[in-house]
Amino acid sequence: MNLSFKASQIAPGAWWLLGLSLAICAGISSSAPTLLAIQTLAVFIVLMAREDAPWSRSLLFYVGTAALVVLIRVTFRIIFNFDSPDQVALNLPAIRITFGPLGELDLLGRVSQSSITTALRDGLRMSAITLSIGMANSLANPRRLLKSTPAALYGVTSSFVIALNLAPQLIASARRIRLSSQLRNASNRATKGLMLIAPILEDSIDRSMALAASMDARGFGRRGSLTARQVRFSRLASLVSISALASGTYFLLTADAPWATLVTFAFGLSGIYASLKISGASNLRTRYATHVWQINDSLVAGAAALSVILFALGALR
Amino acid sequence: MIQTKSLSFSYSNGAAPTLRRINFEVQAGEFVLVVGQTGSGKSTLLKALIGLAPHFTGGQISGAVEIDGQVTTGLPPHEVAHLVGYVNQQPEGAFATDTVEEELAYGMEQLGIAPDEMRLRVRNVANLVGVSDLLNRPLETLSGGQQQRVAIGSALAAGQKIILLDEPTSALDDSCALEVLQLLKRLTLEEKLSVMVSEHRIERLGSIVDRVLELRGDGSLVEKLPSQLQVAAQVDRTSSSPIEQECMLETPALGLKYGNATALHPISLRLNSHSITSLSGDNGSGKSSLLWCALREAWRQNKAVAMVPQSASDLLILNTVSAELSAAIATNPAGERRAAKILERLVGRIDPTSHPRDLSVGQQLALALAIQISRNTEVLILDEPTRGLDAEAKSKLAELLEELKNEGHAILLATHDHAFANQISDENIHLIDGRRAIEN
Repeated sequence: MNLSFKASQIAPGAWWLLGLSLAICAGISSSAPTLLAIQTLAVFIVLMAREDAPWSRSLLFYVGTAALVVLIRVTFRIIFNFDSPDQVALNLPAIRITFGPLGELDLLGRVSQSSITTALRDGLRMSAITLSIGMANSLANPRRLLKSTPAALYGVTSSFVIALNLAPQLIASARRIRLSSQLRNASNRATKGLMLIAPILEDSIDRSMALAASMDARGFGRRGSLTARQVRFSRLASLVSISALASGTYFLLTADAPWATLVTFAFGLSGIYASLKISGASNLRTRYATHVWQINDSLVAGAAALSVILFALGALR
Repeated sequence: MIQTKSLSFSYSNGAAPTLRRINFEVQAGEFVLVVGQTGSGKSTLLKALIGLAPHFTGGQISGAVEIDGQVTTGLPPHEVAHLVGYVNQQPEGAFATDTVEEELAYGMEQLGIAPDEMRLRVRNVANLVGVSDLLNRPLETLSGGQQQRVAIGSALAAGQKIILLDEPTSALDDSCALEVLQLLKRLTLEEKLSVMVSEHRIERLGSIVDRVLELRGDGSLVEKLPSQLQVAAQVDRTSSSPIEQECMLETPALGLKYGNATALHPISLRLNSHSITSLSGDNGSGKSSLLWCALREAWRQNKAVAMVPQSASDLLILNTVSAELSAAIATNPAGERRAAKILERLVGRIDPTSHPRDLSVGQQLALALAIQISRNTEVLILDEPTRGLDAEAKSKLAELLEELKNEGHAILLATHDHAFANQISDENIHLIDGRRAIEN
């Protein structure tokens, strides 16, 4: 038995399950050490499991984003701060802006210790979520994930291909454009610094579009013998059920409505089942080499489920 | 199998139509060649037949396309995919999977071929297009020519009765290109496949194709007989009087490894002024690797060097052709005018406001060449500088390189086009599996 936990040995779905679970845990948790632990864990997993693939090169990007999130959250808190009786940590000169009849706004001024701690914790939570999603995105091969995508979602294919491919493509494009400006002589004003952002974005979108076009031309998203009505229904069902799952997650995070959570989740799952049933019925596509779900996949998925259950229990207590 | 009725297409409202009231018919078992100058609309025609235009390009289509008896005008590509196979002009951007084997199977998966049948066909097709040894290789590690074979193989494996190929041999050397085209010919005879191919290298196609459709620059289409295929006259080499050459770049032995695989065994290069050195060799023999090594070495030695990589469109990052041309100014005051002149000389006038992305592959290459050549560097490195150029543009490029050589530049280029290499180069380095073979 081969217990490998390298990125490509695990089903991309399992990586996403783990990433989403960590994100949910981060959403539930409110202690700074726990949030830091989740962040460290996410980065650690990427470092241990990643292989040399284009989408695995994005770790630094996510770490940077996560740091930026914390920084912005705390800075905003210091700038837009409300006078509170707590212990004052920072005593900054206050700036009062008056909006005539609309009232006035105080900026800076006395910043309490507790407001900084709260801001820091909020920032850490958001950055932990960022890193968890980033982990899944760095480890799951977007093309393989796309292949295991339920046929019901094929209806929105092109946008799907573009969306999934965009993050890795951005990084590839950045490299390419940097090389191009190097080849054309770096001293060239038109191809320097901030000027590169637009070409990088444009290039990523162009290339993702080219990929979507190629996949489309080879039959990806084919309707086959399904009638237009079946297609419409399955598309609608998958959209509605995904929205239901999203709001279920929201209820779970706000944690005040266990019944609403259960009902929306159940509704979402049954909707997806229905749309899978319809689009799966016509046997349109086949798979060349299927990834056989193995014990290491189950371990990753199991760890994901376990962490969510533990955190949820902890939050309910 | 394919029939068009008054098919017209234009990329934007009010622009001159790229295709103008085109009528033609392709029967089962016919091998049809589409020719036309760089930018005349060959790719657009193929895209319009399968719905990629306008679904992925924007623009307006009118008239009717009928495929296998069904009217398919207006249908998105995925609803036509089971009837027509399509091979993109630039395979590297079109791969949907990670390895050669998966890519060969991709089209079949979408069409719902049974797994056992798929495995059988993958083996057969890999043999046919000569990639049997590469089945487990990641696609991004393949050379341009190998990628092209995989793309063709994937379309053949899917097994539709009609196949459209957009310049399928642009990165293949002459013998391999001929092999691929002969394979397609055999399939038209044995399997009654209908094949439409757009090609620039038409020298040896007269005996293979059944019919020729020529797109004229104005969007109209005329039918020709294969015997009427015009081959551009070869440029006579001006026998130049011996000139004092000086060494522009001398490199230590350059080698390159990817992980455990050796892409290039150490080779040292000496590039002289007033000379053109060409690299030849099979697909994957290390030509591009050697060029990149030479470029890095030239950078290291602080030499003035310009390179046009194999995917020339990589160089183009601005919004309009004129912006690209004027970006050439910064390095050389006369750069913009010079670049514009070179571009016009190679492929004729191009609307300066058009987006580089919307140019044909050949036009993009010409633009990249114009920009880099106008920098007037001592050393010029070109990777496959003829890919996507028509015969006329190619002979213009040969003239241009000859002039640059006489001005004293040192030129190093890799090409699979033997005729082109023989025509212009003073020295040839032949590579076999990353090793230097013959010199003459």
